[in-house]
Amino acid sequence: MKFTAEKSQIVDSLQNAAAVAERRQTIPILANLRLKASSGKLEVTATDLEIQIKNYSDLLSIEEEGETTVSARKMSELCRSLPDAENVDFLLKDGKLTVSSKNFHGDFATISADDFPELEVNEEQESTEVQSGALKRILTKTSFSMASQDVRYYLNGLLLELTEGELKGVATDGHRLAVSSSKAEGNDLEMRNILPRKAVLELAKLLPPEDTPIALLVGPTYIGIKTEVLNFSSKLIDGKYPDYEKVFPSGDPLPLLVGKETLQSALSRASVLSNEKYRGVRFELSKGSLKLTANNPEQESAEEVLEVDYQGTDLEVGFNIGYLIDVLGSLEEDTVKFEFYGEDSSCVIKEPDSEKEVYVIMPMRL
Amino acid sequence: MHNLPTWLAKYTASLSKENLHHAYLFYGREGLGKKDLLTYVSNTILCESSNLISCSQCKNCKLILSNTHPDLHVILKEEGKKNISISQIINLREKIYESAFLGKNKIISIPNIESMSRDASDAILKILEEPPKDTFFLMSSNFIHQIPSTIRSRSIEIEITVPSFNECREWLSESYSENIDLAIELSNNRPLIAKNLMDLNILELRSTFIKDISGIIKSGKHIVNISEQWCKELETLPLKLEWMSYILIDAIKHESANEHADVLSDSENITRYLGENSDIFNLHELLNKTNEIWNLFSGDTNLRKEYQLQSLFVAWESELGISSL
Repeated sequence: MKFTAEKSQIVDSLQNAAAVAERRQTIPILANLRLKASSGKLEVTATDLEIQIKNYSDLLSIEEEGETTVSARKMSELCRSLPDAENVDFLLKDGKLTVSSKNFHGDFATISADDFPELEVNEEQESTEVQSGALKRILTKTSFSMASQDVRYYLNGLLLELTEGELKGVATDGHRLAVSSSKAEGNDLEMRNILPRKAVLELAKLLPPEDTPIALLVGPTYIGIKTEVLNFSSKLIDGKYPDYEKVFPSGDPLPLLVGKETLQSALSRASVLSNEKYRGVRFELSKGSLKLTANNPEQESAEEVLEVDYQGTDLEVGFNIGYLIDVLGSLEEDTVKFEFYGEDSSCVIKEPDSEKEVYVIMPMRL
Repeated sequence: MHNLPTWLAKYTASLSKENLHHAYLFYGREGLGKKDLLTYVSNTILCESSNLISCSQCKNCKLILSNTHPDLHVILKEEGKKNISISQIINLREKIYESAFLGKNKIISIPNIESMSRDASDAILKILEEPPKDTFFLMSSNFIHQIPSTIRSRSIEIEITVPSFNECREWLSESYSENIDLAIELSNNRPLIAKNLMDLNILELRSTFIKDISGIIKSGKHIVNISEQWCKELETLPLKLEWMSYILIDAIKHESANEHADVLSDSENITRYLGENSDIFNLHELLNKTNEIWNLFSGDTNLRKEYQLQSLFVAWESELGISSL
């Protein structure tokens, strides 16, 4: 293998891939990147056996095609620290990968690319097109509600649902639920799959925020995202996601409108004096006002009254502050809308005029 | 990929790829090749060929050979830990509920399953009760009675029995030429232990052992030295204790007044002498004590090995030694 590239051409794909490569190194080759030079491009592959990412970048020239694997950390660090706009030559000879630029010259140890475990996609798969920005939004708006290391393994991920005209992401850890959806027109593929936690977090970082079309590939055990420069694949969680529709409370809602920042800062004040373990805060609602109270086992307490837009009956209900702050942090409008359904029922939080993101938080008994 | 030795091959005969249970537990004495069998079966399940063989041609087999197969999870005691911990099982749980990396079967291989902590085996039990699909558990143990019955009842248990003398000889003669019979006899037909003995220079090991034992019985001197020396050679310690048991058993055989007792030939002088001169009840009692300590050393123990050995030697000396007669 022998090729030449400009630093700026390859540094991003090396760094993206190195972020995926396994650091704990139970299997040594997983700490490596596979570099493959063929048909004018460099393909950089990394995997941690859960997800796999392939980045493609243009090269200045390829003298000899080929492939090998080298340490992800060392290669990405080296390329990052090379001077900008410098040409870098790569040469694989006798099991060593030689990297040289104008004044620099380095030899890397390699492991044969034959031993690299590549995610196998030999099953039937269907594909459709979605907008990158929409998918990224869905993932970032819901991913914080995923469970982590829960025995209910199907909660340690995000449900991605694609129906005619709609793409929807659902995440819950049993105490709170986040649903985000967006239009997906011209789509005729139906799917309902659970993406593992790691894939969701990684994909949320990788996807470009602009609305460019990307290909979504789905097989029974696998999901893939393809753009011109990126090929991301992940295993799926093999399980049945609970029927989340049932989580939405029923009945007549008691709506409350409140300024997002006002509530955020009030909650962060209350959280100082709330129980450190359970983080409870009590909402006392009466016409036009919301009283927040929190206390802890050391008999310390906090109380704050906010002026709000509320016309319903008097109500007292407790929530976990952490969950509320997470939701408020993810909403974008200045005003947020709460819908209460009684003292023992969950509340729904969303933006006043939009149903794009809907959050449900279970109440706490205080 | 290597083939299974003849005495193990019969255990795979009953397995076929279409008809696999999700959990198998291989048990039997140490040194019968259970780990080889485990590796072999997991390789064959992962191999793309439709029969239970590993072709060493397909991608799966190649990845196994380079130790990078993504769907083969081997759970071993971590270095410096006393047992297989719950956190290892929690990590495993995350992986196995996801679909297989190569889209087919997943293998969880747990040699020495008795070294799991209580919490870990409870967590494994949860998985075994509702196993994810296309996931196979292959476990093995030298100490089947230490395995919780809950796990045993959810697995197909396969006992690996001791092969015949000839099977052992056939296998060993592939790599050795001398002292094969003695090694098989001394390892009680356990091929891998016999092989180990051959590598350790069996004649010297055995003659030192006999010298040590007769020293203990004759004079009771050097008990401390011998126990320290034995504890330095940890690898052969359980074997030496096993040999001590054999000496007692052989002595009991002599005691039972059978002229042509089937005993180990190289220790016959000692055993005949003991048989003729010791009380049979003492021999039985000593045998119990020896077996107890042998058992102790075969597992994990916090007790100081030197002290245990010394107390055993003292018991031998006082029960069997010249002074007691």
